[in-house]
Amino acid sequence: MKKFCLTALWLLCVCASPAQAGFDSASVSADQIPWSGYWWPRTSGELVMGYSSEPAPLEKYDAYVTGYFPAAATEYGLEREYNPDALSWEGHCDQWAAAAILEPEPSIPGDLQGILFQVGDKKGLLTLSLDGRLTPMMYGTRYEAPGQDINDIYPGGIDGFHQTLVNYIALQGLPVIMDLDPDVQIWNYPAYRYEMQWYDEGDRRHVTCKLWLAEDDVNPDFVGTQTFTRTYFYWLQLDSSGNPADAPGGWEGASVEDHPDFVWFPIAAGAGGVLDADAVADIVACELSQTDDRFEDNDEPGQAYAMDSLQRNRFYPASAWDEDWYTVGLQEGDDFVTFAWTSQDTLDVRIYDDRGQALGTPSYNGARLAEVPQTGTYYVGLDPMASEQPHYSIEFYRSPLAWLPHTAFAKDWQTSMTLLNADVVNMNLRVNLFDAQGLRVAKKESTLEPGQVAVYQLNQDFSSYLSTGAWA
Amino acid sequence: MKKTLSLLTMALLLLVWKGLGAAEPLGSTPTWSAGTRWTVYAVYRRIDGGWTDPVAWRFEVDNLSDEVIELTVTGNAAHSARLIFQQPTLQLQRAVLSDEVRGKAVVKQVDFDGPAPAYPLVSPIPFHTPLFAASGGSNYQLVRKLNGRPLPSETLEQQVREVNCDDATAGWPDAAHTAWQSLTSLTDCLRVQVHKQGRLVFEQVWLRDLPWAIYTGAENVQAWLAR
Repeated sequence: MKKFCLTALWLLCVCASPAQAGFDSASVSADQIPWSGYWWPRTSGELVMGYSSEPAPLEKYDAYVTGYFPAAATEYGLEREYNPDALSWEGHCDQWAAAAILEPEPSIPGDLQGILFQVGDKKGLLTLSLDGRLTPMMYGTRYEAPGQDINDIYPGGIDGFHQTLVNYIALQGLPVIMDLDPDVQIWNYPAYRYEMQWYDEGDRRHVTCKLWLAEDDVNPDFVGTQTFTRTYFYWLQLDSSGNPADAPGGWEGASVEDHPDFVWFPIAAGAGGVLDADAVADIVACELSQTDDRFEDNDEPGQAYAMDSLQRNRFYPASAWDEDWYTVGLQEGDDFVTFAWTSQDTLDVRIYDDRGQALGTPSYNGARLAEVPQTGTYYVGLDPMASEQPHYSIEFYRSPLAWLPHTAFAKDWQTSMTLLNADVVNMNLRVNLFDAQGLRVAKKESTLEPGQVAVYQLNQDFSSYLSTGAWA
Repeated sequence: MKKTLSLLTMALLLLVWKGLGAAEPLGSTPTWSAGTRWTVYAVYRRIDGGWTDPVAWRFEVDNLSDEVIELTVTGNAAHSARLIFQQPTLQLQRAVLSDEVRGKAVVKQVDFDGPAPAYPLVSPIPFHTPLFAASGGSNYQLVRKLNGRPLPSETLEQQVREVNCDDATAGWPDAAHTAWQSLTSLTDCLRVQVHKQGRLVFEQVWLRDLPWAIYTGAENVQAWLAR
């Protein structure tokens, strides 16, 4: 009986003084939900190295701005956006998170001046365009090294974690970004929805806060919002009225060790930036409209576009909705190669002389005229055949004639030449020997693999020709 | 009777403000008249710890009545503000803030209930303002409402000291230092520091005859008057 009475008394106490409890939830409206996008890590550098079989986003940007790639943006990217030795978490999560809030989602591919921009290209360029222009409204302080306050950001206070969520998501209808790693690394994600359950205990309010955030570990071409959730536990100091006070409170449970480092809202107020904002805006806004490239109209030999810069590894983006024709000026003896970089396998590229006679050897999406018969104008014709997306980037490459003076056989002097293939693809090499009148008297051809070195001992390799006189 | 009280209050406030400065020539509220304009440059702390390039914010007095003074602030980006100050204390009463998100303006209203110093919480615009009409005590309660909902009440401590400008300018960004030298030859500055729970919320340096603080410093922003 006594036990029953005690139990009843305990129940009475529990029922008579229940802890104050409550629930709160908020979400931004559907049109403000942040979109998912890739975070472009520097270790793999897809912004400049590419994420598909197409040119990289920065190469396409260069092509739009200058007409070819690589140019300034690609060079910047090679210097800053690709570093296999970078820290594994270095990337653009901050700029992606900001873009995902501030900008509408690029959700469709498009083309400009014959250049195809995929969703991933648009998102990548939009993300990078905020580099140097972002002004964060910071709440909490970034943890950078041991000795700093790892509990910051605190959950309570007018600029604490809890109130900042309320201030942005509930009271302004805007997402807010947070670095989810309490330690040195930074992993930014935009949060756009929360559910808070709480109960009061004395002058403390214990809160369980579930957050919905947009993911950035997605394919660059991903469209929409891939969501994940995090749950945090903390307490808030209550004032005499029972409302949260402007006091830090504290993290609880698993959140003592694992809580956001800082929270911020992006303000794109800075000037400058790596990319031209107007150019990026053009690219982001473009739709698939089969726009003409800058070389049109070049649908037949009589309209061929004169390509006066024949540099190796310089690509000119274009689209072959119909035949495309180019002219190149070549010197006798040149080794001329043209190659169209495309995701399609059906482009037919051929070289013709000014009488319309096909020359050289067709190769995969390209052609080669290993030895130009005479100095003059030659034609490159490109037929899209059955291509459905005939976007291509074409390279015209005339082997440079590097003239190396050689005075043969001055007593015991030996002349050698060392050539290194510093490229990432095989390099065809031909060494010509000309006499003093400019007539070629001998040649040697070989193929160098990437990193391979070829050493020519001229006295030996061309011994039968180097008996007397001056040679080049 | 009401009018007499009002005049007395104004006189007292002015006396108090004079007292803050301790000595001439610093003891006065800034003088704003319709059309008065100035530019404030601000740099913001980046996530990597460095500072952004300066952002220009243009302040202009565009409405002046017996009750309020209204300022418009525009920037070089999609942010603007309308600031409403009470007359004659220049207590910030309301900030209507507009930020462009996804090409559309998101407008929010922040109401300030003091008297207390005020500072921005959800805006990059550096409209930090001291309590010009400081009373004898140095602790003040600031209650803000964001879009009508009250936020936790803040207890702010304001300290005002007259200092030599050379001392006050130590540690400023070079551009702020240059701007200060181009604006005035005065050497006596008024330094206002606002703390909360022992932590510096913001610091300002004011000079007589200038419409805005010559310098504002907070944890994540530094701003200076340019012209």
